[in-house]
Amino acid sequence: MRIVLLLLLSLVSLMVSAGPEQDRLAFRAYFEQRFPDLDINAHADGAYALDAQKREQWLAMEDFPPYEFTVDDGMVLFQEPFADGATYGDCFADEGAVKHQYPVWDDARKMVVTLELAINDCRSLHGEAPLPYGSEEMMQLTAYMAFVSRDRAIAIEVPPEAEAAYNQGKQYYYSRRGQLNFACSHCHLQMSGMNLRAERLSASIGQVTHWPTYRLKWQAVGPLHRRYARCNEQVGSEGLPFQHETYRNLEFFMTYMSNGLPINGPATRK
Amino acid sequence: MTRYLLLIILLLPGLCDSAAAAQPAAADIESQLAEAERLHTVAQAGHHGWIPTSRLITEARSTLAQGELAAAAEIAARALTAARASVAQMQREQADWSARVPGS
Repeated sequence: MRIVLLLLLSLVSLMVSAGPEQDRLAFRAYFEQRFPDLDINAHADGAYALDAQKREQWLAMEDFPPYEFTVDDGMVLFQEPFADGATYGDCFADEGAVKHQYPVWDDARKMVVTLELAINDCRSLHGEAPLPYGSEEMMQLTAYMAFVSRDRAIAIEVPPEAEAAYNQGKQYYYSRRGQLNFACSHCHLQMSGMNLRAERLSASIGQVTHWPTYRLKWQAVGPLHRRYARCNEQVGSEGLPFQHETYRNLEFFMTYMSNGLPINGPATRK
Repeated sequence: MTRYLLLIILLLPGLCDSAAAAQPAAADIESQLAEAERLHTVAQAGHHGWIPTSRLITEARSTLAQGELAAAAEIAARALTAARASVAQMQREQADWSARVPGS
């Protein structure tokens, strides 16, 4: 009896302490089972992968994408030399096509570094003032870097030292929040593909592939953390500032869940 | 007629007293709001702060400043309820979240 109990306890502790890769496989399998007729990579298109009519309208909009000028301005900024003569190209390999490798764990600083943080690190290294995270320039740079990273499969790593940050992001994602008592997972895992009023709920897998995004509601290109804050607000929960540690950890978790999916940012969303 | 008038005159002070007793004290409302604020800070520290809590606290304070004690007390009570619920949510989710992980 005692051995059975011990075995059961070990099994439970194994389930609770499942590592990032087991999490990712289970996450992916969940969506493969939920949407058996859809290629998993198609979720990079968000809700437009799940609604044929809206997809058609969205594709028509992509003929003249509203983020185009942002990408062009970003390219100019990326190539423009700093006061010391260096450019962003000295900090980022492949002409900036590195979006699929972010966020990364910085073991020296013991923190998750998003692309926005890495851009500001680059600026500091070359004697430039950091950019505000929601600024137009930051959106231009990240939009350009996402654009040149298109079709590259997300490939981030969670080393053992980063597991605490990863787990914090994971817990945030699955925790109920706000007066409406909703977790991210309620809308984008459990109810993905269903309608919330007139909106089709996208699947969580692939949600990080297309940022920054031009949202018609914003009439501007905005970052993923702005969307997080809005999601919080929609369930009656207080949001956090852009690049807050908790949002960076959430992005780390969500990006790892989407490992293998192609970058297709920037994008247009309602 | 005189009997009725006499009755009214006799009952009037009592009615006034009970009306005054039903009026909430400003100090009680302040203490409810202080407790709501304390709990809201606890919830915020765990990233479980609710938007309505701070809105209700602000609204109760402004209603209190206008001297509308009954309305202020009602709003303060709602603020306290929201703050308590947000802390309860935070505590419950410390354990409950993991049940939502696929494969758990």
